[in-house]
Amino acid sequence: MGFFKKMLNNNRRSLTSQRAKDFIHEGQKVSPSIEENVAYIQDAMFHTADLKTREISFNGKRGVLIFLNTTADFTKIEQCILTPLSRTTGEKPLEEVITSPSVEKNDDLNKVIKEMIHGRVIIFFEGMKAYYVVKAYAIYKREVSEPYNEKVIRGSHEGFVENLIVNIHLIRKRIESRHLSVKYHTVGKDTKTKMAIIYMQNLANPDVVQEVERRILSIDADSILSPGFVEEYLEGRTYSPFPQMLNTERPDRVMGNLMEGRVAIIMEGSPSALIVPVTFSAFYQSPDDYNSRPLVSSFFRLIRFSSFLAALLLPSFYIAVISFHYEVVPSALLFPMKSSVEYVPFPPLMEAFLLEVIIELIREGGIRLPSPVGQTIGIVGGLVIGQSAVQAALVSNIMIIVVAVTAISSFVVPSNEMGGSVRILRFPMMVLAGLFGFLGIMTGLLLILIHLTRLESFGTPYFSPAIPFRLKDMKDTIVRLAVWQLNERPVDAQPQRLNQERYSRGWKRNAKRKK
Amino acid sequence: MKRIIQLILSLFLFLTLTGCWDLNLLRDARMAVIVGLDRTPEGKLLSTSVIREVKITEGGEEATNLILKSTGHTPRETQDNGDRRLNNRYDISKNRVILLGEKLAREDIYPVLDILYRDPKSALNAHIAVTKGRAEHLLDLDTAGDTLIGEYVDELINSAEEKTLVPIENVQSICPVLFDPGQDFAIPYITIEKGDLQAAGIDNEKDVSVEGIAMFHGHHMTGTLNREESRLFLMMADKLNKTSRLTIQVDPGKSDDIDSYITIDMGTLKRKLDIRFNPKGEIHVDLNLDMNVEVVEYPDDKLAESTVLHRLDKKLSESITHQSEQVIKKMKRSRFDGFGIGREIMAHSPEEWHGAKWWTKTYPKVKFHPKVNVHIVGHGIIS
Repeated sequence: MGFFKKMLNNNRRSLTSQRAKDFIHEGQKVSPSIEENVAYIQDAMFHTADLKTREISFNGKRGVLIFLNTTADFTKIEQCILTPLSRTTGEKPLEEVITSPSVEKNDDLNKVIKEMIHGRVIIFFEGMKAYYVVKAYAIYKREVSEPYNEKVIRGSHEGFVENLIVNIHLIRKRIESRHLSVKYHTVGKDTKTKMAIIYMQNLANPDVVQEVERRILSIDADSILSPGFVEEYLEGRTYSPFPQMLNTERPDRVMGNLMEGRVAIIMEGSPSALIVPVTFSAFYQSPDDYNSRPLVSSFFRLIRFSSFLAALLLPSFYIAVISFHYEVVPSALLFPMKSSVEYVPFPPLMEAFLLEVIIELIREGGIRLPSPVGQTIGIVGGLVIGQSAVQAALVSNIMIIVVAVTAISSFVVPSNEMGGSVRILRFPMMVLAGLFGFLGIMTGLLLILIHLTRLESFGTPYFSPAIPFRLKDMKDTIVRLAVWQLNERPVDAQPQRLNQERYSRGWKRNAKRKK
Repeated sequence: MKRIIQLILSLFLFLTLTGCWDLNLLRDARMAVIVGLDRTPEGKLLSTSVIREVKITEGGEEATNLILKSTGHTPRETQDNGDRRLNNRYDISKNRVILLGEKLAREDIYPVLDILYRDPKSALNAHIAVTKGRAEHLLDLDTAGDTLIGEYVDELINSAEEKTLVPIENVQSICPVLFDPGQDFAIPYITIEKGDLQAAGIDNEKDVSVEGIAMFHGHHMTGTLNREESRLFLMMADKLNKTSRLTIQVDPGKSDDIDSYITIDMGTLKRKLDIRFNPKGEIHVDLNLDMNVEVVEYPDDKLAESTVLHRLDKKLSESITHQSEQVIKKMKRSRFDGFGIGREIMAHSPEEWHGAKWWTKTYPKVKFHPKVNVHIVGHGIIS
């Protein structure tokens, strides 16, 4: 019985006996003695090795600098604090001597710890019942570079980095408007992860902004590791196969979405922004679309949308055809098909599963491996397995073609998450096709469609502008019309103002008038 | 929790209780591409199916035929008897051609076709044709040149349709006509005899060719039209496909000289069909045909002169009108109402329609007045 009890309790053990002793006392005030203060801080931080102190003297008073050498910057400490202090002559208040942009005075000893973690330097003076906080934090950040997974051919090659300030800077640089508004929140009781909600005050719907804030405030967790955590906390339906927040590492994409009245969420330590509310079609739009000509980008849009259908349906369609309805295939195509499936020992469903799983294995293996080895895996997996599987009559030629086309189609989607969703949905579709043929495929499609129409992203119908239908928003969905024809913002983001463009080609009218 | 249990249960039921599972694996099908049906001397039905086999060899794929013959009292029994001798499931869903032996075609053909209309998976877009003699003999050829017989006959009929040699018909399209007393259908008539080549003293292999059409009345085949007659019939029935080509002797004086013949391609065709009833109870049909033609061969030339053109226009009009009359005579003899005159009467003057039996007797008495007007509008790129 004890075994089952443990299992049902998820192996939860009582942890009270192992809980560590905490040295923090509520409302601890600064003591006049430096030694006492330093000892208290050292105890509160459990004598961490990166806590450093340095003795100074100012105006004849003995003082001590205390900081974490892993978050504070030595050069800044030297420039802003030590050098000015050593050069001062005569009585001057500390605020005037120190050249750092921010010097604050405080007396709550418990706050010292938080400030030090943020990279600030604390200065205690003998006999003074307060301390100074001086900004001197170190910034170690990656260069702004093109996102690895969202490359474009033309257009900006900037991408977000892991630093929140830099990321907001990248957006501010693009939208020099006083309406661009940033709100900070701190989530994670231990990690204290900083998050920023960014939106256009005059465009974004206040209800959406409020809803985002409400959902963020209700996060009650010890740690927030990644935007994936935030996504799962905020999303309406986590177990839906479709992502309801757009994940991007491109500032220009964020800018475009902000200008449509959407809200971006960025967090410290992660180079990706989450955009809400989004629709299904947003995942098939690429920044490249707006850099190339309307006809060209419309063509690529169409290809991308058809790739969705191909990735979702091609294997199941093929399975249904060769196991139920081969009459629909023209004779000229049927006989080659028949000869290729003639000696395959598995039922079509199993054959397709086998290949799909192999492809997923190759893909998953390829991601983890260093790139030179990754290529080898591609060749070994793709060519060798493909070729010899056919020769050994384990799978048919055409099945390999179908699975390969499907795999390529699923990588066409500009968004990685959506590609994953399509890949996952393919498997139930294949099972349905293998069991019920076209009837199964139709049932599966119907279920997916029902789900898509029911889904909402922060109050926006996920499948708009198709359902509910709005012709004007179709201008930038399956095709992309010229920019000067997109006079109105898409209504799905619920913006405060719809109009975004008037007649920007007045030069054409003027030229006619001159004649 | 309840929902999860429901979900698992339904998934389990899906996988186990599949019910009447109509799995129909391509791998297990043996597909017939052409089927011939004959009446044996004993009165049984003989079915000859050509089944396509594809073998994978080092050099690629190689297609061969498997000829399966079986007999029985009904088509279904015949098919089942064949299936018994076949390693996998016999399948006619991708059949391209159904060939009827002439003897069988002259009987009621509907009982033979019934099985095709009843089965949802049968190939309704297959061609249907009549063979002179027995269909079995044609299929026994196995190949024509390097092409497999099934493919060959299919393409043969396709190209004949394109050149308006035979009407475009398939198993589905003849079905409503079979049951319509007011119109009749015609299907290709295929021979495997040595034909005109042997007459010219050339001893060649047996060759398959479309020799015109088989005319039907109701459910029975009642006669044939040869190639020239068939072309004219289709012209009069306003069924011009891509093109139609006629070779006509315009100067009989120069007998058998190439110069005396002209070959024309039909450009556009306008047909007008009027049905008149006179007080005596006679039915008159005016058939006016306006043809714009292009000369594709005329060694005598001088086509640039308008007098020559006018003479040829007139000669051609006369000649084609005369030939049309001969064709109509033949059609009436076979009681073959290929123009659907009966249907016209039913639709436009129902008071004159007195039932199917009346029509069978009346149709041969209908007076046709064909009138053909030919205009030469082109003569190739030489002038």
